[in-house]
Amino acid sequence: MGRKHQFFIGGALAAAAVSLAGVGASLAQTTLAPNPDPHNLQGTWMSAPRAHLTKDYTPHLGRGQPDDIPDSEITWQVGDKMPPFTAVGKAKFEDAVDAQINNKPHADPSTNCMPHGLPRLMIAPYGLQIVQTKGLITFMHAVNHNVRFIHMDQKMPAKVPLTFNGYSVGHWEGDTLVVHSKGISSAGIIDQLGTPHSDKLQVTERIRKIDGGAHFEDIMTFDDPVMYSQPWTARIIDNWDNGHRISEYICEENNRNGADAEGHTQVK
Amino acid sequence: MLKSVAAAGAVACLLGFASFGAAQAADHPDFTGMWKVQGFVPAIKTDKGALPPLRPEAKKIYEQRIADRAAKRDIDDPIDTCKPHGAARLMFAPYPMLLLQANGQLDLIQEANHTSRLIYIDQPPVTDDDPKWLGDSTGKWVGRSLVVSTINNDHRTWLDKAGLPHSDDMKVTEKLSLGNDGKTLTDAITIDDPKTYTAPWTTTVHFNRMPAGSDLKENVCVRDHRM
Repeated sequence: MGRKHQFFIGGALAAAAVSLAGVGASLAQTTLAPNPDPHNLQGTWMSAPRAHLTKDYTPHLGRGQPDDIPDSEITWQVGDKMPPFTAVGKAKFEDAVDAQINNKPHADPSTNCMPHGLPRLMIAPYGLQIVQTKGLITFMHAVNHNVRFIHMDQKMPAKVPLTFNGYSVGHWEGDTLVVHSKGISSAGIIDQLGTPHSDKLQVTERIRKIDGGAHFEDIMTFDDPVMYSQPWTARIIDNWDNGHRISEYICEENNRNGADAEGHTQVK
Repeated sequence: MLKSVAAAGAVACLLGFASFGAAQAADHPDFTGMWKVQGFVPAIKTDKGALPPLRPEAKKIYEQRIADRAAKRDIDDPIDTCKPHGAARLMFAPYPMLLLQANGQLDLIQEANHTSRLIYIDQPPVTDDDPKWLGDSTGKWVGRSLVVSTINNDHRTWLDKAGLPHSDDMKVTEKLSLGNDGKTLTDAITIDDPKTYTAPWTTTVHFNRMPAGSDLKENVCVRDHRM
């Protein structure tokens, strides 16, 4: 086997759905230097460490710690305070925290191999390959072979059906790729902890290469009047992955280890 | 019966893939765009119209699978539980398919359960022997065709709905070619698996380029999933 995923989403429910079959990048690997062209995002990227949350709601970078809220990988940045929840949003968030701390069933679609959906897909700690063709930027994520499309230089359609990934349109503003997404099903969540969103969520992303292409940042603004009293912003970083290839990741292979009614993984 | 819990929730989502088709490399055809297989072939035959040359033990497995499906007995067709089709069978999936040719790769995204297959063109060969649901594919240009070799094909996949079996040692060689002014795509698929078949055999599948603005829908196949 070759290179392993660098990050692992821990916890019983997540483990039920995560199958790392064939994670070895299997073709001969060559090291590829970052491409400094700001408009060329093509190639593979690996998420930088995401933030985790202590039980007094303080975000910190890196792996989760024993005293954290379990599986609390979140969108928030270090230094962030609580997002500006509405009463509805706060109740949803507290339910999610309670589920994680007390090992209760958690409404996380990815534990049943459903898509992560936007915006969580961008936050999931796995590899990503970006492909640019005429009029389209395609994000091929390793995690459960999720695919996301950004339609370039098009208007947002007047009517967009609800889907896990919604509909995304993008354009370049200088060296920044600006992406607007809507039509995102409320079946999804913003991050693994369960920071909630409704199907009124609209996401605006400003994606930009930094440090000569060694990283890209994605500054995401979440506008969801059902769950939040005002828009709020998060920033994530992905690292250039030196030409490593994304690995086969088939979540469905692990269906046999589904969770029981109590949320406990059934390991056979 | 697994079939009862294998739901494919197809969620309509207009994706509007327009404006594809510009040649990206001077001397190579560009397969980029939306394609749809011509018809659906539940039981593939060789290009000569014959049953592939199954070894006796493999023929027993094949016939048992056909009999079990006909009798509505439990069968182990991987796609019934949302596992990947495998590299060869994916080419026969009767759903739209997006090809993206860029950056030294031909990437295939099948609408069916958003299944992706990556083909690395003129890049280093495979160095491991781990079976994978979609194998390991490398391609090279031969004239106007892309010749794709796929190894490490997990034996749990079937080659068709009927249930043609194969071993982990199967090698798949495909010859992808454009025709009819770029409006059609042909994939001649050769199966070489001495453990399962007495000789290599070839079957050819044809695709039509879909009209500009065609959609790839968000398609999610998950057990027990209902949208």
